[in-house]
Order: sequence, then C-alpha cells, then structure tokens
Amino acid sequence: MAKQFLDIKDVNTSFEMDGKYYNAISDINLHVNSNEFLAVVGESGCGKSTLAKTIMGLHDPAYTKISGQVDFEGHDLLKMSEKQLNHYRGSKMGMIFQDPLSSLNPLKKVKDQISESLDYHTKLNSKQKNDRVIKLLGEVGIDDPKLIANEFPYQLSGGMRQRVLIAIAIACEPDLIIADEPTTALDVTIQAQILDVLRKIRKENHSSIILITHDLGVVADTADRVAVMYAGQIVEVGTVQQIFEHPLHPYTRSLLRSMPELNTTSDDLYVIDGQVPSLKKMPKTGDRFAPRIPWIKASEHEKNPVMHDVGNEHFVRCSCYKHFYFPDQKKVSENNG
Amino acid sequence: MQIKDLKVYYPVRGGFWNRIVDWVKAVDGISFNIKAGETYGLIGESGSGKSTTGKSILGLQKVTSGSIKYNGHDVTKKSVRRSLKYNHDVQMIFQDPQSSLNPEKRVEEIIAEPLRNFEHLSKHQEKLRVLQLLDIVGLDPDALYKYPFQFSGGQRQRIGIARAVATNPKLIVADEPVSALDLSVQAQVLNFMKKIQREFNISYLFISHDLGVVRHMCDNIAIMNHGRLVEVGTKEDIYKHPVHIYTKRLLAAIPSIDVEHREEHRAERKRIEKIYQDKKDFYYDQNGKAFPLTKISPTHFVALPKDKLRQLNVSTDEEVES
Repeated sequence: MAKQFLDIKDVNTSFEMDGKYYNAISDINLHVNSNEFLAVVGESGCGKSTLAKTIMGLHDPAYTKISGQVDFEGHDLLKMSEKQLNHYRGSKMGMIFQDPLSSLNPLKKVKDQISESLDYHTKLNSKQKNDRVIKLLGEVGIDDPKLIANEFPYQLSGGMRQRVLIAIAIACEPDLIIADEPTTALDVTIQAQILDVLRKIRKENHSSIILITHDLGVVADTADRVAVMYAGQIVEVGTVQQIFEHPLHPYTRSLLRSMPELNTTSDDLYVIDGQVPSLKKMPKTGDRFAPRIPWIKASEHEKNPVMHDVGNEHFVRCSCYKHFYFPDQKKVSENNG
Repeated sequence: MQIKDLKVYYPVRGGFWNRIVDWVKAVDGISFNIKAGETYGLIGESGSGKSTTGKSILGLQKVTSGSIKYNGHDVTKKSVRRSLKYNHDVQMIFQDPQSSLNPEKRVEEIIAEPLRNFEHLSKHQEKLRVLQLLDIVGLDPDALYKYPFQFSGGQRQRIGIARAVATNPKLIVADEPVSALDLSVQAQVLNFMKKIQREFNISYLFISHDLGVVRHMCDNIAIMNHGRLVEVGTKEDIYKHPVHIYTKRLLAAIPSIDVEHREEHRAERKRIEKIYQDKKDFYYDQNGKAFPLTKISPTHFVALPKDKLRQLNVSTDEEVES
C-alpha cells in the first residue's frame, strides 16, 4: 500500500486587503501518496495556485495568514523556519511554474541555472555538475543537451524552456514535484510531449507529482487522482475514473458538461449561470456553489457543507449532490450516491 | 470571400546598409473560400501564420502578393476597401479582452465607437442601439456606465463581441476568441457567437489552436503549417478521415477525456509521432514545406502529390469520377 507522504490538514490561507484578511482557500484536506500523480483542477481564482504556494511556503508572511498543518515526511512544513524550508525546497520538493520565460533568469546560461540548486544542495565538483546537467537535459527529452546547456533562455522555444524548468525542478531528484499549469502556454503537440516527460520522471524517480491545471483533458490523460476546487474549497476528490465516469458534485458535473469536446453536435453548450464569488464577497456559510444552481432547493444544501465519504476514497462536499439534476433533464427519482 | 494564393513575407534586414537579406514567409500561398453564414476554422500551432492571415483579411497587414476577393472585389488595396465600406462589413474579435478594451472608456463609448465611425446616428438613437447590442450579448443595461475592469473575463469578451457586431458586419474574424477564458465562461461566449450568427447571418473566420472548440463551432476547416495549408475539408473530412500526417498528429495530441482508453490513446499518439518523425521526407518537399493541395473528394483537399496519395491508398477525386 502506498504511504501518504504529504498530508494537508485543515489548511486555511488568507490574504490581507485593506487591513482585513480574506480567506483564499479554506478547509483544505488532501493527501498525496508516494509515487502518485494528483491533479488539482479548477477555474481561475479558485485557489489552486494559492494551495501550491502554501505547500511550498512561497507566500509573503507579512500579508498572509496560514493555519492548519502540512505534513511532509513527518514534518510540518508550515512550522518550519525559512532556513529549514530552503533545505527542503529544491532538494525534496521542486516546483514548475506556468510561464517559463519569466521564471528563468534571462542573463544566465541554461547550465548555470540548472546547477544553481546543485550548488546549494549537493557537494559535486564542477566536472560532476556539468555531467549531471547534461544528463538532466537528456532526461527531459532535449536532443542535443550539450548545445542547449550553453544557450540563453531567449534562444529557446517555449517547449524547450519548459523542459529546462522541469530539469531545474528535478535536479536534486525531489520526492514531490508541484507543476503549476506547466502546459497552458504551449501548443497541443508540445503539451503532449511535456506530459510524457512528467510521466517518465514520475516513473523513473519514483516521485509524486501535483499537477495544477484548468484543462480537464490534461487531467483525464495523466492523473491518478483528482481534486476539484471551487471558490477556495475542494468540492470533490476521487480517482480519475470516479471523477470522469461518475462525477457527483454539481460543479464537477456542470464543468464536464460544458466541454465542447463531449458535445459534437451543433447544439448549444451547457453554461453554468452566474459567476464565481470574489474573495471579498465569499459567503461565510452555506454551499458556495448554491447560487449557481438556483433550481435546487435551499433545504437540500447543508448549512456548513462538509466532505462526505461515498466509498472507495471518493469524497464530495455538501449533500446537495444527492438531489442534483440538470434543469433540462428530468429530475431523477433515485440518487446514484 | 475568396482568398487566393495569399502571401505575406516579412523582410529580415541586416548587413551594412540594413539591406533586406532574407524574407520570413509567414503566409506562403494559401487559398480558401468563406461562404456567407458559415464558420470557417483556421487551425495551426503558434507561428503557423494563422493570425497573419486573419490580419491580412482585415486589411491590418500589407499583403505581399495574392488576392483577397470580397463579393468579387479585390480588397488588398486601401482605396478599394474604402469605396466598398469594407471595414464596415468586416470586424474582429480579439483574443485578450483585457487588453483590447480601452480601460479609460465606459462600455457605452467602447461599443458606440464603430457606430460613430460608420453610422451617423443621433445621441438618442446611438444609445438605443448600444442598449440593444448589450441585450444581444446578455448584459444588463446598467453595464453602459461601467468600465471594463468592473467585468469578469467572459463579460469583457461579450463586450468585445457587442462591439464587433455593432455595425452589422458580414464577416467577423475571431482570433482565438476563447483561449484566454475558463471552461464555463468559454461555453457562454461560444453560445453567444452561435446565437448572433443565427440571428444576423454572419460568417466567422475562427482562428484557433483548440481542436475541440473548432470541432464544435466550424463547418469547414483548414489546417495550417508553416504558412501553408496542409489539409482542407469539412468537419467530417478532417476529424473522421484525416490524411496528412500533420493533421493526424494534431488530432492525436488532444488529451482524451476517455479515461478508460487513455493507454491506447497514448500508444496511438506515440505511433503517429514516430511516423511523423520518420516520414518527414514523404509528407514534405525537399525544403521542408508542405506540397500544393490535391483534391481527394469534392470537399476534401490534402497537401500531397497524386503519386504519394496513391501510395497511401487514398484515391483522388478524378479517379473516383472515372
């Protein structure tokens, strides 16, 4: 049985705006097993990147309040000092950002950027370091690593830059890699190649990957387990089969229904009414998705929605999923939960 | 709208007198027709020249050679465009609603701008028209006095659509209209685009890299690769019977949401990628360019010469007839 090596318990992160703190993510409970591909999906503003930065400890403590616990191999990351965290970041946890051009230093050669974390975390001599850089670039699928190692970021294409970023993240063979929208800025063919690289790394280095994305296609193609986020909360967690074949939460079901890929006829696409509540207007109690499915009676939502275990590690927030139906479809008499 | 042998080259300058040393062939001889009331999809990866094609059709980009005929008139010349009121009939929806709306103007002024340019309406008439347009794209009348930053991404894109349909255009060039939007918002915008098309009989040139969206929106599709068209056909031709390896590769790269068969999908993608890498000489000419298009059915064209199509066991149109 795979062990849970990252365990996120009751995490809340709030940001200061005009002297007040607003909850960006609340009540997050999530674990990552070792050697697992976990996807966190949600639309922009749902807090998925905030979650990634909370795990990595990248928020500015002057403006953020974080409560809860993030256990990583038996240590609470949230209680660590900056110095201890620096020891973890890079060597045990690696992060891949969305925009490869702005997260690479334009003035440094590729090889110097990759060996930066080797300098910090390992005691390799310069010859060994060079060999390691060449090997890493080969691992991420670059055909001519010796040539690319001596180039500057602007000389590389978007896909190449993303590969370099992945090489930096895996330089010290971390156990956990967090990839924040790694393929969003890329073409589909390049995206497919980058996802292949991530899958290969996970297999060869036995590391776990948290993939943060808004693209349901990418999730279905790569993930083992999926966490769906809406308005700062996790609304559904399950295996990729559970989420795509038997989605339960109204938000997951609506989202899947609005995909043009599924809808090949020329009929209109399904639209979720309303908007995601903004950070300042986030309701304190009640189901946050309720205003967008007004045809479901208020009595069918919980006052303070909690996660329900529906079996086989499949969790859904709020009991309204039992009564949910699409307005254009007949109300189902028996629930499938 | 007929586009014939369109070429757009950008000069590369260098050397002593900043002379032109080379040309970047952004669009290298492409031809296609857009019928009234249809949605024509132009697909390609970044750098394939699809946006340059869109700009040339709008008259925002000088054409090196070739013709763009609109109702029989060549509109590559500015004087012709002016006499035809071409810019009145052809409008654009931009990719990024954030940067394509003036942040200092109210919605009323943004939508009224094309009206002020082309139609001489009184203040009252203009306001009624703007309100009508807001209603078409499903925004409240009180949006009139708001600024773009007060709207969400999807609403901003709808303001962009309202502005594009303000002059009752015949053709709208939509350059990646939904690629900056979230899934649920994307559905909303696509539905509005379809609704407006039905109501006003508008043609769209839908430029996108997202094959899922194009499949949902478009009737006819052209696939572009390095400034040339590699395959042209109806939705069925392209998605069900792709012939060119580039089309197959693009289709295979779309992540499938069919979780159960994802391993097979992945293996299929690897197989096609391998063919693409191994057989580049077969599918492209010695300069690495796509071949001219050959007709294989009344609607389906592929950029391969006849003898190569025969090797692939694809019959050309003439053979079908004979």
